[in-house]
Amino acid sequence: MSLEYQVFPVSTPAEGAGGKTGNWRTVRPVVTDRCIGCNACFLWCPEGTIGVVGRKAKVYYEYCKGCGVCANVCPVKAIEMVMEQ
Amino acid sequence: MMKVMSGNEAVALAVKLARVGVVGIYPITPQTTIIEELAEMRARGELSADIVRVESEHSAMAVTLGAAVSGVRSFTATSSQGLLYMHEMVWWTSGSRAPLVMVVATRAVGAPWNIWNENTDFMSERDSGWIMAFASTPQEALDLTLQAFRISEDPRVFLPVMVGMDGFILSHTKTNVFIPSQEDVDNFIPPRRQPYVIDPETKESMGNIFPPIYYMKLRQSIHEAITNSEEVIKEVGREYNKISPLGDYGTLNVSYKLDDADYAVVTMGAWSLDAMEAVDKLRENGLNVGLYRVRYIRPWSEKEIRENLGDKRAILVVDRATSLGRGGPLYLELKSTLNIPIKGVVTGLGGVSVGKRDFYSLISRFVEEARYSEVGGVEWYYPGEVKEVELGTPRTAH
Amino acid sequence: MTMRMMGMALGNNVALIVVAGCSSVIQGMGPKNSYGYPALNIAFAAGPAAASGMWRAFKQRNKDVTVVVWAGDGGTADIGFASLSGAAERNENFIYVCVDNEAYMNSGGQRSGSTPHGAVTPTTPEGKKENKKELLFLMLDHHVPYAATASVGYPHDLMDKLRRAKTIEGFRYLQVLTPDPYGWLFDPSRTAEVGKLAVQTCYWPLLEVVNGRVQVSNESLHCLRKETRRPLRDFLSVQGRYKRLNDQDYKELESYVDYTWDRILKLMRT
Ligand code: SF4
Ligand code: SF4
Repeated sequence: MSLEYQVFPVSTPAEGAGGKTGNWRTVRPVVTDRCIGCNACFLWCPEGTIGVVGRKAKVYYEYCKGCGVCANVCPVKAIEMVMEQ
Repeated sequence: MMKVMSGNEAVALAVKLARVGVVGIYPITPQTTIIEELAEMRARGELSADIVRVESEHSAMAVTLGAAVSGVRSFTATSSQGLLYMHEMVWWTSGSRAPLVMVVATRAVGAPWNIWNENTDFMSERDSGWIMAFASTPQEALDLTLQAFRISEDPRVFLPVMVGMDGFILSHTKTNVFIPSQEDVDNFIPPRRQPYVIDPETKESMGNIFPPIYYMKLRQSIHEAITNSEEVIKEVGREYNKISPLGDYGTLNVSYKLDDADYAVVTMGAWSLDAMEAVDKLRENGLNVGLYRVRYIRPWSEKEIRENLGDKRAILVVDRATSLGRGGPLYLELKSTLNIPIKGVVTGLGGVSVGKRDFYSLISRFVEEARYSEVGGVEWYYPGEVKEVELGTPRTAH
Repeated sequence: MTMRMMGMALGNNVALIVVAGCSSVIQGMGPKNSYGYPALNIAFAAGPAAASGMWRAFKQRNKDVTVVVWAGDGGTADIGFASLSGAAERNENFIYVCVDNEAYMNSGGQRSGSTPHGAVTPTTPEGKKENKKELLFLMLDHHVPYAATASVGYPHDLMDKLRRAKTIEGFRYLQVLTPDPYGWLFDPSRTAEVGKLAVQTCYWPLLEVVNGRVQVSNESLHCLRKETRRPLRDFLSVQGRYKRLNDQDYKELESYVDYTWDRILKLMRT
């Protein structure tokens, strides 16, 4: 008997399974040189799309929804929110 | 080894022999003695299963499911209101495709309160995607429970299995039971198999939102697993026959003196034995009748049923359950399977006692009717002794 | 985001049980998901019981896995409360995280047992009349070895508590106040700020109770004395859901805060 009919409601981890939230964005966060790499933005970002790489925060724009939480929580105001073109 | 025991003791023993890891329990009559027996086995150190004494049946099923998806064989049991209270989790469990086993000692559903036997609780889970077997003796309760673990964990099935038995009549009545040896059972039930394991090692998840087409495909998969389980059940039954000399599990359902019969009566559960005695008596008196006992309600073996009953002149289906407003569930299932005259009888609800004399008169009356007219419809049958019931004044709405 | 903090605090050896709610939606659509953890999604009232089965399964298999239930306040305070209470009383070995956004945010923000007095929700358009259910105190009455509150406004405190919870055996309860911009009606970029204001105004006490010993977390120490509390208005006025609040309601909420802290002080003395 072929077992092809047996499918299960199982899912495996995949990046961006919640959908490409980058499309929602009207403003984008831009990390400036003031960044001290403290990771507060990483902890706070609701999408998990910013984090410290090396010494400085980096934004993954494909999924960043532009909510501005990172800019607000940054202790040194290193993130600027600029209009999307 | 032979031992005198009740249906509930037989089930508890099967759970022990199957080396179950986790048991979720919540007391409800008449299932309670299963879990009491398990708790005692555990206290005596005979049982390694972890027993979780939860606060409701909804949680009993959830505990059992939680253990099953994380890789351990698990078991629970319930009755009546308890089964209805866990209804949501019954569906979640089959939707999860979690192999596990539940025994239902049947009992009437309120209101009003009634603790006696009726199969409507069990039968009302027909749509839920479980494999469903129903025992007729304590021996069969033990055998079907053991087979249930193997059927449930077969990759062609991967579904939960529900084993029913008549409350009190089976659960509390003691008869001689053959017990297969632990070694035989260990060889009979292979180590745990399941479709996925929730575990940090696999990182797999179960049950988040799936798009509509996926959802429908998943439902179809359950449907096909149930239909395909028919072959698995027969195969497992034949294997079981090898470890139990009394075993008769090569078929899903059981026929009795059907070959040459013109008419047949269809039953399920413990009273089938009374019906068989009635059949013997009727045959002595020259009536050509036989009996067909439904053991598996899911899968519903259209093939077996057509082979055994398709050529009969008419059949009588006696249900200890109702789909209110329609008729007995067995009757309805058979109506959709066979193209011959079928009459339904609903009786024995809420513990109304129906014995071999009742079967004798029901069957002989039916054959009489069927000889001279087209039988059909559903009759509510009350045994001779309880003709008048005082239910008080009829009321109009206030 | 609370999920990410959990990842940092608990490490990888975690199995999740996600109770129906917003988290069951944000994982995305099967057959993929956006969690780094294995998760069993389950019906509203079944989380704590399923976790009771799951941790035992890992024990039977000799595996050291931290089982975490992830539930909303509706699943905790209302429909799942019997299951939660049962598991707490049995002292089952898992961490229960209640993500408290004070309403049924998944289905549109309707009031729950955890919605505070005065809040406007789709099912309380005139403002809720009753006070928030005291879940932490209720859990303490189950004699659990660990119970704590946290706010997403203070992620380090939250992670510390998760780390401590991980080291303790038995039933561990953590309730995390999680401001929801769409239900509480404030600008989403101010989520952290609102989470902090709730603590600063002493509306949301940060506590940790280990084996019955009550410890007020640093961020809430100023609340012990009434004079040093920041006015409640600062927290309420940034949210649209309190737009219907009259003076009477405001007093009611203030006395709710007083009552909560009196009770905490009493617990500290015993
Ligand atoms: S919070 Fe600000 S300083 Fe800290 S890492 Fe992010 S951008 Fe850099
Ligand atoms: S704008 Fe929002 S989504 Fe984008 S990186 Fe910042 S916090 Fe994350």
